Amino acid sequence: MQIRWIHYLAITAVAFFSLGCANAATSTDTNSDAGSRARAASVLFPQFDTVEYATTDVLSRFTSPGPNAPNNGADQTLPLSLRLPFVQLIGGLSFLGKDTLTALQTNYSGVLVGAKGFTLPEGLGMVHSQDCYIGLLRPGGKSIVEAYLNQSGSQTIDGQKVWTWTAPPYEGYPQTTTFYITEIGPSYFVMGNDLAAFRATVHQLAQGTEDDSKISDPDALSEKTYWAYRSIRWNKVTGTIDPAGPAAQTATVVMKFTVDFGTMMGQVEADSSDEALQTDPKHLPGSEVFHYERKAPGIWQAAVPIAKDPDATTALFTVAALFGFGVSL
Amino acid sequence: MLLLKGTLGIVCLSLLSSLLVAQSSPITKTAPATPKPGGVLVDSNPMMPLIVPLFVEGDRFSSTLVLVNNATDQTYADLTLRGLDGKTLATQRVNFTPHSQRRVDIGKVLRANSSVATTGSIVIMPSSGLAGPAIGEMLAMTYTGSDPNYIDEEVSMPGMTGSRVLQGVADSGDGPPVLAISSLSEMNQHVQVQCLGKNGAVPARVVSLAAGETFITGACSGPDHHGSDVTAILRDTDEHAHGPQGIRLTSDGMPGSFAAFAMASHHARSDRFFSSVLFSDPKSLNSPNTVFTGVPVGDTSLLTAGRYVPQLTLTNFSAKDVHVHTTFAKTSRSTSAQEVGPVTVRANSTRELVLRNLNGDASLQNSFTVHSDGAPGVLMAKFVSRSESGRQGVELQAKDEADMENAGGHPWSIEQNTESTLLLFDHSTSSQVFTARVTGGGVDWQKEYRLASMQTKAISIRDLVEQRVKDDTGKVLPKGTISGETSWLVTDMKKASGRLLQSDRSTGMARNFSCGYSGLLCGVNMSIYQAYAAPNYLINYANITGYTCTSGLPNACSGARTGSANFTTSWWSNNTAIATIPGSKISPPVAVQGVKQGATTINGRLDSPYCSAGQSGPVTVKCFAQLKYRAVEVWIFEVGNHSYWWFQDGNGQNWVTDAGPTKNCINTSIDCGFLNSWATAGNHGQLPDDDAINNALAWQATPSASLCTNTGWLMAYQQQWRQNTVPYGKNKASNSNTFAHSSGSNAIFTITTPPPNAPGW
Repeated sequence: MQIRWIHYLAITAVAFFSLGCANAATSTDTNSDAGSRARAASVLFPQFDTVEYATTDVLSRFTSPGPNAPNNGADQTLPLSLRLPFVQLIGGLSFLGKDTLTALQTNYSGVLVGAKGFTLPEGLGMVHSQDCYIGLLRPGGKSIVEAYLNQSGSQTIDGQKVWTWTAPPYEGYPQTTTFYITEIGPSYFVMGNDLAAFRATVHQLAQGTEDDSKISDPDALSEKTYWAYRSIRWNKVTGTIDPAGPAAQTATVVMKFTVDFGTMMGQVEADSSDEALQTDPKHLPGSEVFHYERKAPGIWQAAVPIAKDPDATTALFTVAALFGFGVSL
Repeated sequence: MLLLKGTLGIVCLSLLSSLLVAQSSPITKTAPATPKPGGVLVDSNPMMPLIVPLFVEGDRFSSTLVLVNNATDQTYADLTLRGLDGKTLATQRVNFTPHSQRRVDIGKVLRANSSVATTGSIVIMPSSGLAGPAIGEMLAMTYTGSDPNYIDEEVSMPGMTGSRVLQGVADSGDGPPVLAISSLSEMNQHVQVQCLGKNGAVPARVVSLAAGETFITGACSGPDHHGSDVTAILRDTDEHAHGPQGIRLTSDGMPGSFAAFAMASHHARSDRFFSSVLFSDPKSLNSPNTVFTGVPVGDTSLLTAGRYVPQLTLTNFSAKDVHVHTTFAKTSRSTSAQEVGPVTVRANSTRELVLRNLNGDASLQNSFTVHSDGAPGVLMAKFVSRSESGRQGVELQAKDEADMENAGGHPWSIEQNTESTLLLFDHSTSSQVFTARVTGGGVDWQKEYRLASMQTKAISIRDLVEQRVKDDTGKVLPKGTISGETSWLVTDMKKASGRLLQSDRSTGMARNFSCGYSGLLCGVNMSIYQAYAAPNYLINYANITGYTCTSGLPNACSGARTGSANFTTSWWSNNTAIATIPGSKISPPVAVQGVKQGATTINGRLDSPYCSAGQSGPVTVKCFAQLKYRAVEVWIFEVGNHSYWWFQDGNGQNWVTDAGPTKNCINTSIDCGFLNSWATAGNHGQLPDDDAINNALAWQATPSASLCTNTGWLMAYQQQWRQNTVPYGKNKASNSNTFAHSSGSNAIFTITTPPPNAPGW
């Protein structure tokens, strides 16, 4: 019974984030954008614990605009916690040149990230994970990868030209990071910090093996420009993520997070078929921070302001941690 | 009229109240001023009577005595109205609240005392409780001919330190001026009267003056009938004798035994109008030069339509020719100064200059300086600016260029059609800062104006009120305020001048207030806001304000207190190894920064040209507490802030207390292990990147006597922390920020600015 429930959730997730985005495009979306996003999402969901998405417009809002930009006196930048899932992408590309991030925002409509293998930092620092990013080229956009792949230093992996580079250690992670980037067809780049995950993603995306026929929940469409999805094993007794915990104490919880930048409100959703979690939200992930409200049997939602005050900051960092992108401070 | 210091001082009003910066309960220390070379302390200055030599009631004359208390204390003055024979007609005590004005209708006083007298003098005796001459007065006479005409008579304060001579200048009139000489002596005296006209001096004549008598006569030709009133003199004088006159009065009595006033009569159609002649003691003058501020030249928006022509009347009271240079300074878009032509005024004669070809600023931003090569008191001047079309005119008092009693203190009014314009003039060779002060409606409005050399500034008080002009602290005069008082202050009063013009364009009348009190520095108030500093902590330590006095002496450092003002300021620390003044050392408010633990003294001093006053206060540098934070980064990208406390305990030891995760997590979740804490001596935490000196500051505790206790609580909180007990990342993400927050709360700190991007706070 539990296995069937998990299978249902996975299919729902693919439908929620891929077809949904395809059919209910935002004002900047095109059908081509939505289609490529759906395909990329369907590649990431089977492989990774967490899948998240952000438009490049969102990714450009973590730093203040230049001095020539209009200034209405208000701080228009977004809380940094929303950037955490994409910090390996932003950090890695920054080593390729200061203009690379600008080129990303200009030429690509959005980026999906799949993450797994979360490991704690040594002391203070950010949780490390095996991350794989898929960039969605805008129609008419110019590839940021092509120039590197045609250089003599590029290598061939699984028949694909791949550019690799390394980045130094950082606080909490005393190792160098090796990045891989390649281009798939006319629409995507794939970038990763783990070779195995990178190869699998490239392979799946190049093969086009996503299974759209299993999508069965068209009502869960999402128009959000920022979303996250993760299925976790939650230990109801210890209140921790516990993949190896005893079955009697653990339950599968699907966590979803979406942001409405119009209202500057985020929404955390925790879905579970576990009997205890269907009736009492105090055992749900993040319940000490979020104020869950029951929307349907097994479906709990909590509003999280997209703000920078201390309470909102704690809530947004808790969201990031639940999706694997925690920070030890 | 030039002010006679010590012998014939004329004082108006001031309203200089304290300049305290809004702070909670500062400790205020006061100290008197001490003289610098040339300055003097005035001890128990005997209060001298003031005299109005002439009042006239009836036959189209009316008189109102305007009295102003310049002092910060409440006080009173006793008035005695005397008849021409010196006998008392009426007495009245006038009480004053601090900085207030009273108006006394002379006609009403006479009628209340059943007196039928129409002419006489007024003696004013201020309260002996005042430490200096703080009562300012002016007799405002009005002649209600076919057009009303103001005749302003400044009040004199004769004294024993002057000479036996008074001199005045009358502009060209129809017939000789009507002269009133009033005795302040209990003895008979003889007064020699001599007029100096265009063609030189006419033979002097001597009149006898009985004790207390007021003698009215034609200034240059008599008739000398004791008991004659103004009307009789006007009837009997030769109205065909034209031309300006200098008038010199010399008594054989003691210095200060008489005062005088004259009116020059002018024909206009079938009627007449008068201009006033004010007398001053040449011994009281400091310089041979005079200043006229805010002169109507050409068209002017404040007065009746028509072109105004300045007329300068100069009298040389010496037996030697003097050479005169007159400079016209005009400020429109820019300031320009031009000499209007050097002239020679022959010995013992009067010369009149009609300056027809000048084009001035319409808002009265025109001033003149008159420089002569004679000794002080040799050349005296009078300025009248009269409309070409008729009889409207503005009389201006000559101000001694080196006059110290020049801080204003005038009553302003914008009732009905009346306009009040404050006119300020920098007649020095460098720019000067004027602190203009306008009080009204319970508001003390102050604004600094920097004037360039030879610049004149006209400030419309109606505009200040109606346009809600903010002062330097953001205050505005309340809407609907129609009267109040105005003054100004310049650090060196010898370099600047000012006056208030009350004018009514509809009637063509203008009243001039030029006399002033001295605005002396006579002490300081130092308000200490914060006597505890911390190393590297900047505190707003104190503010220093000079209080001002009027004393009747030009360079005194004491007297009757009139208010407060800023002077040249200096600050210094006795031990810069303990506390320094890193910012301005010359502005009244001072900020002090702690360097290291200890105690020292901060000194503040104010200086005016002749006086200085200072005060000192302690500052203790001990303990500090700062909430610091730093970014945790992935390469150069911040992923969150880690906060901690940096503080100094009562022994002068610096500490860093912080918290973080244990390293024994075996789970893949962030919420594993425990939140443990550390206390590390010095300026670094247990993590090398926790560099308290260079990391960002979120908040710091205000230094206080009890801050060492608070920092002790910070340390106690860390020492009592239950290690390996509090789950890391649980219970609202417990982390270093949570620990820092609860540490601060335990130390009873109200942290108004928590660290940014710090989850767990």
